[in-house]
Amino acid sequence: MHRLELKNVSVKRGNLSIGLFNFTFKENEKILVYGPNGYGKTTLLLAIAGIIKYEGDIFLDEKPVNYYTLEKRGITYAPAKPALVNRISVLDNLKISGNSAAEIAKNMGLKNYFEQKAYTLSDGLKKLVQVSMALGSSAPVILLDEPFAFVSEEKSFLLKSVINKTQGKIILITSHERMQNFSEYIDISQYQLRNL
Amino acid sequence: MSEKLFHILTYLMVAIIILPMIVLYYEVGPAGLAVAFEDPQFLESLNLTFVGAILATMLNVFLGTPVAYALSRKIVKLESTLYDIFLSPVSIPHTVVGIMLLLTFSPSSPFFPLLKSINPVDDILGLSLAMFYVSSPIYIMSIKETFDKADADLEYFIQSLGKDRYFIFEKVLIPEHAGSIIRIALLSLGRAISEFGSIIIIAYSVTFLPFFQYVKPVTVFIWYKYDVYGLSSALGYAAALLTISLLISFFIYALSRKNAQA
Repeated sequence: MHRLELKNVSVKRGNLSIGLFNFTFKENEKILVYGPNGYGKTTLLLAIAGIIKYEGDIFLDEKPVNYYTLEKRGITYAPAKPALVNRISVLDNLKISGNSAAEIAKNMGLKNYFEQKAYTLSDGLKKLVQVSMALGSSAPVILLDEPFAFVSEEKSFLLKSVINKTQGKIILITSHERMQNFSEYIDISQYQLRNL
Repeated sequence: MSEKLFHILTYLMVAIIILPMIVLYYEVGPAGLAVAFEDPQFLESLNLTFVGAILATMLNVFLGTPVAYALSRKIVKLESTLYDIFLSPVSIPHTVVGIMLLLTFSPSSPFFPLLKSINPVDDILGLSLAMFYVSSPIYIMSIKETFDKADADLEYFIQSLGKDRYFIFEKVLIPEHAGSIIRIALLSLGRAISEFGSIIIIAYSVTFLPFFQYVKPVTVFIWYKYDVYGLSSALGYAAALLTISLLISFFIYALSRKNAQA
């Protein structure tokens, strides 16, 4: 059973200062980090992923991951901007993540695009491929930054259902609005340290 | 008025660059150019220069590309000091480069016991080494700039999928920036071909295949014609080399345009 613990985590990035985060998330939980733009939703995910510096401690399965490099941390971070290796095919992109990414992409109706070069896809489709790669990774924690941005309403519905069906992982999602059916909610506007 | 000034300065600079080329082509004419391209000695020199420049460019690509990545991502310590060292050949006079290389492999060098099996003097190795030394700053600087501008989010994403930096370098950055790498390699090839100052010292006349005869690199060949036989003897060859250099420049420009549109 995977566990992600944040103990007294705070982050300072430019003028933004957020914290203190004290949470314990368990396997199969889906957590929504919501709030207005510029309040630090992405900053929190970047800190958990280990991309930016933070104060406090983060434990994954009771092991501190503070000093782990990105690739060894066991936390996958999918950025808000659709980012794929443009010059290779969609399938080759999916293979970077692992075999299950292609299965997830098929479930999202992307099979017809597998042989296309990634740069030929729309931003919405790129985003779906990127989320498939993230969900298909072996990491127990998946951080999805604005996964529904750029995605059509119809595909958003499909994407939500795929995320909900994903088992064995802790998934943190950011969104500027509060959505239904999440295990836990973090209102980022409640964690503004600069206002204290 | 201010806008007019920019126009005047721009065209003045264009004139400074282009006028000497026009004068050279005017003096040589198409017939003189054709004669140069039919001279077997010149063609052999050109052949030697291209082989040396291609070897130097390959060294730039295979050594300089990972080094530029390491500097760009601060993988190595003291990366800004190292970067300054890599750029230093830009400000070293090229005759000094030639003398330094000559000295490094000479019996008086403290490294001679280690390097004595290598003799780059008047050899294709010396030619390539000198060309590499003077062209590597252009390559490293341009590739590093390309990598600096690369999508950091993409790299974080791939890394967080469990892939290490070498994977990102090989499978993400190289395919994403192949066009730029080719363009910058051509730029360094052009710089290598035009080198004179260092190779006149270390590779004045090179033993070259297939008949192991002595061949002068093309810039040395042109200087030799000028020095021994006078200006008129060197003109045709100078125009021929200028044509090749311009063709490479146009090719680089076309690739840049294609890259920008992609």
